Amino acid sequence: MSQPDVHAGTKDFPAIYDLLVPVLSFGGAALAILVWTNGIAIDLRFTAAGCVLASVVLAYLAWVRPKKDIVALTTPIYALIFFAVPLDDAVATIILELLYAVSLSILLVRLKYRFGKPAAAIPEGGALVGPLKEYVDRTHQACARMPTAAAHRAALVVLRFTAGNYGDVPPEAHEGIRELEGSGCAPAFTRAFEIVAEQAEITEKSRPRPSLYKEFAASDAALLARPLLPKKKNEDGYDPGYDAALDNALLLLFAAGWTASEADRPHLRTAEAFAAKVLEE
Amino acid sequence: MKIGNVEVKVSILAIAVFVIFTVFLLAASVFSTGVRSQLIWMIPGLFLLLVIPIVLNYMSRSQYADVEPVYDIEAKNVRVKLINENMIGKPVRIEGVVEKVRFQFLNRPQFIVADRSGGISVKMFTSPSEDIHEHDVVEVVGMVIRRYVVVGDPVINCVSIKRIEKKAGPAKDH
Repeated sequence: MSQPDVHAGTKDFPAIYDLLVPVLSFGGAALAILVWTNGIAIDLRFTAAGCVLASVVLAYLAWVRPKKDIVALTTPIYALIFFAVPLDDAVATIILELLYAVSLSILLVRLKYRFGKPAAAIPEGGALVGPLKEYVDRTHQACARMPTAAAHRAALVVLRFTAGNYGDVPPEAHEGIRELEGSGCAPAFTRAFEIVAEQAEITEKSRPRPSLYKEFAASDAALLARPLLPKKKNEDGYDPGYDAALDNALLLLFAAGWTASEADRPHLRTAEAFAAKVLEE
Repeated sequence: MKIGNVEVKVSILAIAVFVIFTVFLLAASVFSTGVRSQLIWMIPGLFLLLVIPIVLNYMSRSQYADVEPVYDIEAKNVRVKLINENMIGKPVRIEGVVEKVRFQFLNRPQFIVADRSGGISVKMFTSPSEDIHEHDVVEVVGMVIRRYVVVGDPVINCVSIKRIEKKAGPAKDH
């Protein structure tokens, strides 16, 4: 039940960036050793540039992750503090560079294992990525039949809900239902509006979860991201069907808004990470 | 220690600092006459090391006690999974199991609280009104903020965390 390390909407980053951190830092230290052992008369501080650059690369790797590591982000500052002032002793400079290179390598491993993967870049043309893209593609045919006005309402419902403005959700959802009347769209969309409206109202008014609530029909299953769960409380009194209905409804409305209302796509981008998280198992 | 209605807690760190400096001062005053002549201001200074954290804790605890009813009214019950960066600044209420407790000794505890949908960091900038331990089932009321003020993933800036009477069930229904 721990927080997932790898967030939705993440990607594999070129391994060269990971390699640069130890290569630059240890490379600088190795160069310092070579300069010192060969008695070359140059300031050893130049070799510390490797550690400074490695710190910048590490900070960049920390910056592009959704979950930021403040320790890795601040390493360039420490690099400047450590290496800006010259040390009198060449051995001390080399030991400092080696220890700093080891520290950066440890921080890199920590970053990779504790702070997940870098955030995915938005592809050319603004397409979705990962499981969310697969789901939107799967529902494309049904969503494309939705009138633009209803799809716009679907996008607004998702955006209002995502922002926690639960009180604004039911009016938008009822407008969406009205726009859908006589459109010939799958009834799952109407039910999605109803589910989100009902649950948003319950949340807004801080009411307890009802035992009877709106849900999808078995015939809607093909359009849903998650399997339908029966209304049944477990021994803790928890009914997983209630949450699953909301997750499915939000995802279906996101897909509808994305597919049938292109003007809303830039706004839906702000809810993309949320939708991807809801889609996660 | 209770001052008025506020339960004040001194962090173990503040006590450690006080003890260390007391030992230093005692040792220095035994060996140095110069230190002995300065004891008249050094001893009150030493006690300030203890008094200042107590006063700060009292002030923050009483502030939190004042805003708690406001948050209690405004916070919406949400699942952890629904908390996202578009909700920054929104008051929320979550229920879940405490998976980890960190920095309790600094009086700035950070809890990882998880419900069936996922886990989230719950940061508190003062001591909680009651002792919270791992595996406690708690209700958290607070505001969604970014982990590092302007960047980072959403976390909860906790105003109140209370144990609730519920059995800790399985962590996740997966």
